[in-house]
Amino acid sequence: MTPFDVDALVAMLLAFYPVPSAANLATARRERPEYFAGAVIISTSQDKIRLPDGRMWDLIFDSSGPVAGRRWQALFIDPTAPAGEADPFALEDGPLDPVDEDMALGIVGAGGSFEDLVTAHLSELQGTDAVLQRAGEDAAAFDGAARVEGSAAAFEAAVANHVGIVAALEGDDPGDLVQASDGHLALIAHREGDYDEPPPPDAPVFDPGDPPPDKGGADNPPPAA
Amino acid sequence: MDSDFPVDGLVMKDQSTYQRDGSLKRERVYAFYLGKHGPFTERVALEPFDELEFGRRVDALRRHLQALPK
Repeated sequence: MTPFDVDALVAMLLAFYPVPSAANLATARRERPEYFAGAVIISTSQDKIRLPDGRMWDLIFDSSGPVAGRRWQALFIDPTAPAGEADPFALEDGPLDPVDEDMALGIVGAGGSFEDLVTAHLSELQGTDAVLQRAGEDAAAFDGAARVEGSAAAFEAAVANHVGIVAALEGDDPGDLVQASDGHLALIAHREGDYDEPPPPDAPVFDPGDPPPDKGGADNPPPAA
Repeated sequence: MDSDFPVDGLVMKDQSTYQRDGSLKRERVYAFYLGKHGPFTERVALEPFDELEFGRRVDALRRHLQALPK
């Protein structure tokens, strides 16, 4: 690739493309690429070039103006220059440093936020309303005192019943029953001896009938494959 | 004016390129310096070949090199 000389480029543009325009610049780029040394035409108005090493030149003066006012030029675009004019009334740096907005503020405790703490304890108190209400109702609805007082009558009736049963048991004399059972011993033949009664008849034996005739084959043929 | 920007390091080369319609374009490529400016690369068509075309182009380039701000 030929080395780049911006003076040669501008001289060529002046000599062979008298009308400065973006179209003529593109035509020159196509017809005489050696002068551009690999530069590409950049920017929306297509009037600047950038070399492969990054250097940029503005080649058309007043490219947005009327055709008569345009000129071929070689204005080097310095990337390190400030974009606009320096602020003549710029403030000087103060003693404070700007706050780092990415820093997280605040201290988060182990229990979390206050709302979280209150909510956690409120959840433990759930259902206690019903407990309190039920406890109040029991104290008001208890009528056991009347039931205790009324049970004395049932108790006395049970006592009377018990006394009656005991009296009946007292009056029941099993003496005559004992005397009657004394004579049973002579009636029961309770002496020990050999069993001399005839044996009972045998129970009937199941008779399966005659076996099937033997055909002569093996008793245990092998299983089928 | 010739002494300000003498033609220097001239290299001539004939080359042929195929155009998009399939025709062959033969041209002579001149690579040269004008003084310390350059390199300039000019292509002159070989058919028909005009011997004075190169001189005319060099004069035009010289004229505008002179006009450039120093």
